[in-house]
Amino acid sequence: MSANPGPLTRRPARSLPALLLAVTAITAGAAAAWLLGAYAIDAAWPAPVAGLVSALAGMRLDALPILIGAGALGLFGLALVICAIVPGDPVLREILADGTPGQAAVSRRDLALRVRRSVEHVDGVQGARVSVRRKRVDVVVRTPVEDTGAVLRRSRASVETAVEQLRPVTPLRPRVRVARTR
Amino acid sequence: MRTVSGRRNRTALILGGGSMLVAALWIASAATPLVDRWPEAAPHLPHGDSLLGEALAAQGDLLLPAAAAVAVVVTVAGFLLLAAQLPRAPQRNPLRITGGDDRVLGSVNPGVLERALVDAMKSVSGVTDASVRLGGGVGAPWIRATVTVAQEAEAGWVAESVRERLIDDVSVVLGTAPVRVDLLLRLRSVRAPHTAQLRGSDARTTEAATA
Repeated sequence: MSANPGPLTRRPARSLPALLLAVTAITAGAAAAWLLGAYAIDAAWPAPVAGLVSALAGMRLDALPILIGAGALGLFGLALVICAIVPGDPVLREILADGTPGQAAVSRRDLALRVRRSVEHVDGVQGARVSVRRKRVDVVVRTPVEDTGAVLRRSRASVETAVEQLRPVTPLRPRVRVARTR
Repeated sequence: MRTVSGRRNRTALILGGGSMLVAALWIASAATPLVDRWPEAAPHLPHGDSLLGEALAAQGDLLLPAAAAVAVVVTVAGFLLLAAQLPRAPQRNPLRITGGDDRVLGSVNPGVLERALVDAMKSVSGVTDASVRLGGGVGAPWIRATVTVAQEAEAGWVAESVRERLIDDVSVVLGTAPVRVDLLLRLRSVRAPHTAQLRGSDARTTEAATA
């Protein structure tokens, strides 16, 4: 049987931390394999690192460089574990729920861009910055117009219309602010 | 739609990060008075006053092959994890259409059906591009589609029409309605024009009016 594809709006896959872990594992593993392989064959450490190895071997276990190395390793490990445990914000948002089994979704980026383009069509708006949070859409509108109240009202209406058209399953509350450009 | 397995990545991160954390704590415990406080664990804990080379040599002849094996395993695991970061489309297999007595009447390559479904989706007005993945066999098919929606189209109507169309077409061809229809909408949003613009049709009307 085919694998069930699972829900569309899943938590982020943590590709970047996994990529870092993979590269670290390959680098460290390959370096160790090369060192140990060379030592097993020649019964001596390879020339480029012989000095480093003997310096390390002569170090006390509570020496500062070893503690710094352990601290860096521990912090890196802790960061990876935190990345794995923290759920993260889904990249896709479920929208337009109807009786049909399954989901319709849109990416957060597309949602933000749609809201931004819609606000940019409002009279008096020079530009806008939109970020879609978990339950909120933050919009900062730039305008050269003195009467910022009217721009704010029209922008808010425009944002509400754009969001309502997509009917997000988790309601998104718009928060619009106006910044006056000089 | 291609995805990366989040569950596998998170498991790998917990295993990898956790072992790094444990190793770091073990090494760092050499600088703490843990050995004096907990004498029973002294054989398993590092001693701050011993040299690194001596501590490793004390582990005997087994250390070198064991470390080499661990190094090779870690390298291979790293390559596997790296390969797992390539996004994969959900698996699919040939659709076997069976008769009433479970006798196979014929097989359909899902790719053929997918191409037909893409054409059907593109015929919905407002859809500029589409792709689809069909899986799960004839008994319980699922659909995962991606459509690009034009700026001027009403996304809600497009989504509803596309999903209805997919359900109808799959039901007609396979005889069973899909168990789930997932639809990813890509919204095209055009920049607000800075200067006056005439659409193609408007321009023609204007020309006709002036002629």
